[in-house]
Amino acid sequence: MSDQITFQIEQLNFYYGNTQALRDVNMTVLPREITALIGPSGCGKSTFLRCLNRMNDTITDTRISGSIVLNGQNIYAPNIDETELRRQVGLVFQRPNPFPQSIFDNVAFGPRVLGIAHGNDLQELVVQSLRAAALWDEIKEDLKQPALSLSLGQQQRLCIARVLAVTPDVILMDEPCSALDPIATNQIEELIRELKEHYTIVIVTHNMQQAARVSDKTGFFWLGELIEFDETTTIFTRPSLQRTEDYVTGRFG
Amino acid sequence: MDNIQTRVTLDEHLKGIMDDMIRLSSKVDTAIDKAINAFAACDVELAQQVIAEDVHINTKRFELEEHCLHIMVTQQPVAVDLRLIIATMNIVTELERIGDYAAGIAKLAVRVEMVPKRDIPNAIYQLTSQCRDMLRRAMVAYTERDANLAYAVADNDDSLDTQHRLLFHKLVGETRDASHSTDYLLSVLFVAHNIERIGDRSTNIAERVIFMTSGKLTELNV
Repeated sequence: MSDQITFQIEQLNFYYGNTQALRDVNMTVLPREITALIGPSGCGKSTFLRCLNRMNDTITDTRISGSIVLNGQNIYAPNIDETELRRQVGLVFQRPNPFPQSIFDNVAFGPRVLGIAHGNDLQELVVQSLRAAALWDEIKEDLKQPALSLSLGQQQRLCIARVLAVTPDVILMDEPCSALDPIATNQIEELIRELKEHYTIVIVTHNMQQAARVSDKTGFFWLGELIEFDETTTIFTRPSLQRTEDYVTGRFG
Repeated sequence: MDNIQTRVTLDEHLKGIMDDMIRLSSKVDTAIDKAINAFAACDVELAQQVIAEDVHINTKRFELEEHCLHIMVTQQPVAVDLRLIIATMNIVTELERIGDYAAGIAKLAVRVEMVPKRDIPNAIYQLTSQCRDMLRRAMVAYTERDANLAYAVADNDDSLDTQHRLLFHKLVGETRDASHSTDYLLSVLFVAHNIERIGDRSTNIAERVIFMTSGKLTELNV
């Protein structure tokens, strides 16, 4: 990983058919920082997040221009292996989406498919991932229980463990707490801060207090544009632009 | 993003604390005026009014702080709203201290009654008028969210300091004159000192207005 920059995004434009969802977005994401993306629904923040590991490629009739460079490599270059990209850049979704399998098999799924680990190594990797996702102590007695029997908060941490098991550099999170109660939300937020020690994190959230609590940098999107991007403390105490201030203070006029 | 009223409750709270701040600063201003008049006229009754009123000023300060805490807890203000709340909590403390200076002058008026009365120097009135003007303008800057006016208030403090220094040297010179009561001159010196401090506190208010409007933490007249 580059010591200086994880993602360098330049002049990014994205279209769903004829609808332009992102306009000339420029952003630099630094390693082991938590970057929060905020903005009203439909502003392009989730679209932007999904550009970072090419998840939008799965949608038909989309178009992209500009560049996204991850650790020195343009991720939209023709020779890029998308599976390897998505190993490097994992995605945690809004609603927990464990496979209808055991806890162990959920976490082991990625390493098995990618051939990362087998046998005892796989066992160890699963345990490490569950520990890193702060779930181990709660489920260590029975890794064979169905993942869907866990609480929603536990399921979301399982999904984070599933991402960690494939040893990513970056974790993308798309409103990871919106389906969770306040306690489970606090647990995920604490986990995000712990994960920061080893991973670069980009998180989309509608909860501005959450962005303020967990992130180092915050980007405000509006109508497909990155309006302001700065230190989180600056965005929530003295934003440069009136439009940002109107949004973070809850006034849209 | 057009014309959607989304923070009506927060806006009502913010207007409420600003209105209360204006009322409190008006009480403090009146206290300064009464305190100087009580001192000049050795009017014990008026002085005691000022001392009693200071208790109300102190109480109002805590009520305003409580209101700010309530807004922080229930409305989670950020950016300009947060800066307004933080500035208000600082400014209300400055107002309370200014009230204490007025009460301090009033207490002297009670004590000075015992010493031979003589006219207080005109410079005291001039200083008082200037510092009250600074306070009033600092509070207008607060309610109008006017950083330029806040900077102008700080500019006035230099002139207040100069006048205070001149008066100080004059009074110290007079203490050598046996025809004047040293007690009285020292009291006048103390009054002048309190007025000068009111000017400093008004400058502090101006600094908080600059923070409130721009987010810039700055010290004026270092």
